[in-house]
Amino acid sequence: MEHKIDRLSELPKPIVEHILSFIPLKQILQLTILSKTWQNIWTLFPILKLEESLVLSGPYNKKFNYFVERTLLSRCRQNISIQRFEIRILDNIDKEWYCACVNRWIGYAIESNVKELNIFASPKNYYKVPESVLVAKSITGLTLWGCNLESFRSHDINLSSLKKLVLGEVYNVNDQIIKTLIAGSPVVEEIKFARCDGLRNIHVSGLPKLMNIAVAYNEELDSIEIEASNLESLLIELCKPCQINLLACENLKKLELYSATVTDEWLHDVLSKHLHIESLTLLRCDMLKRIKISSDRMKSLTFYRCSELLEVNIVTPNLHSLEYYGDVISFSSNTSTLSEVRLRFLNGSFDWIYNVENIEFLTKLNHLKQLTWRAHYAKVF
Amino acid sequence: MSSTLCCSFAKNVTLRSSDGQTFEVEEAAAQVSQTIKRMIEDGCTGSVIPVPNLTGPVLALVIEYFKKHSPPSDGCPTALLEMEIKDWDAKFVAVDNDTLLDLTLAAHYLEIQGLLDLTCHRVADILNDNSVEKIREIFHIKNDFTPEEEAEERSKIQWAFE
Repeated sequence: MEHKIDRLSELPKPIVEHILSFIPLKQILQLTILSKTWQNIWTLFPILKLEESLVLSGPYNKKFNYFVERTLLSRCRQNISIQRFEIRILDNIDKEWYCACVNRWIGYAIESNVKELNIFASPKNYYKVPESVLVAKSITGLTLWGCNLESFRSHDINLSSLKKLVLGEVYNVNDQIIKTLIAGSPVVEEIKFARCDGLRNIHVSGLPKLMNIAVAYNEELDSIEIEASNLESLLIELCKPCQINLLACENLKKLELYSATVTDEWLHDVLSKHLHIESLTLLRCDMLKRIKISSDRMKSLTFYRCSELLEVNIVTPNLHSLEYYGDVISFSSNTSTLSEVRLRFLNGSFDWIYNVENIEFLTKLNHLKQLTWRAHYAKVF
Repeated sequence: MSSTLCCSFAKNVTLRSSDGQTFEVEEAAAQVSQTIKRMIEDGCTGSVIPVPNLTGPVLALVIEYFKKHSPPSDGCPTALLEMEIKDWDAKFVAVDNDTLLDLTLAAHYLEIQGLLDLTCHRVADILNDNSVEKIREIFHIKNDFTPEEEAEERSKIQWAFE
């Protein structure tokens, strides 16, 4: 009989909630039919993630909306803090009516001290983020995708618990809004701005906890200036020439530059001032010609299609991983610790050439565990 | 394996399961568990560290996980290594449901976030891939709804079953 014990239902609450956090809402609801215990688990569950398939559910939309409303109200009344509320606003729904619902739901979530609020709107909707979000002190994670940030213009921003901020494809954003947002998020650790048209100059400073910045595909971006003493990881993907200025980021460990118009001198200067960099990725940085990377800390180097690159000199005694994809160029290195090398050379448009002489240093590598030739090329993202 | 290179420097700790089995493991590997890490920091290293919530066979499995997930001696996990570990992880939780729940609880007690994510994800996959009836059967869940109650509950969330 011992095999008949229901151990799953008896798991501690945090484990059950963790399991459910990996399951789509629709499936979670089906689980409430399992038994009264599972019905009860649901009534206390603090995550409400409205997936696209649910929002799209056509004829069931009204029932679905009623369900969301009831669920949030019930959590509110039971004083259950909402851990995560995630909502999608799609094209094909009655915009005004639905946005009014969404605003009300966000209100309930904020009343329930929501920690993570993620709004994914179809950009065609111009969904305007309600002002209440800007002063929600419980929020630790905020993702706004495709939203209209009009309300950010003339409103105070006080996100005193915010640790992670993601803005993507947002409307009506400008440098001033970002400045106010940064000033109102004193403990932020992670920032990502992606495809934010209207963003011209990003200036980040005064954020002692900031560890991670990603700035990607912001079409109008002219300059980035970052002063963050605890920053560890920086990723910049550009669409056009943009000035990059790193000030006092002495703890930077990982730097990734995609399509950055940086020069040899700029790179050498940055590497000489940021001695903790362990991982460097350069992708399509087409102004780089002759670079020398000299660092005791460097462990991982990736060069991917930097078209003008002629010469790479690596003086990195602790390098473990090297990936190169591009034209055959002159490589020199004193590295003897490499354990993983992936090289893919191309010459002309389609012909592959494997030029052993140019990479003679490979023969010196005693510790080499993995050499990938042609078959694999640099994994970029 | 590469760990043999640094054995002369590695400190070991002894862990004892609820049924009295003892296991010796590198201190650095055991610190994958936040609970054990705290015990080591509090000076438990000299003696045996008791792990009263885990039986010998489960602790043995957890130690396998420790070994695979102990930080590499050079401190730099490469992409290749990460891929290999991911494959290993998937095989590690392809076990019977009882063992899976044992591992889930072990990860919870010992605060091993990676293992907790892994096992919970695996349980979630099982719940996701099966019908309500099948899940009751797999995990021996007793349906304590009357047929009328169940029908009513189902009708309330009918839209979720479409």
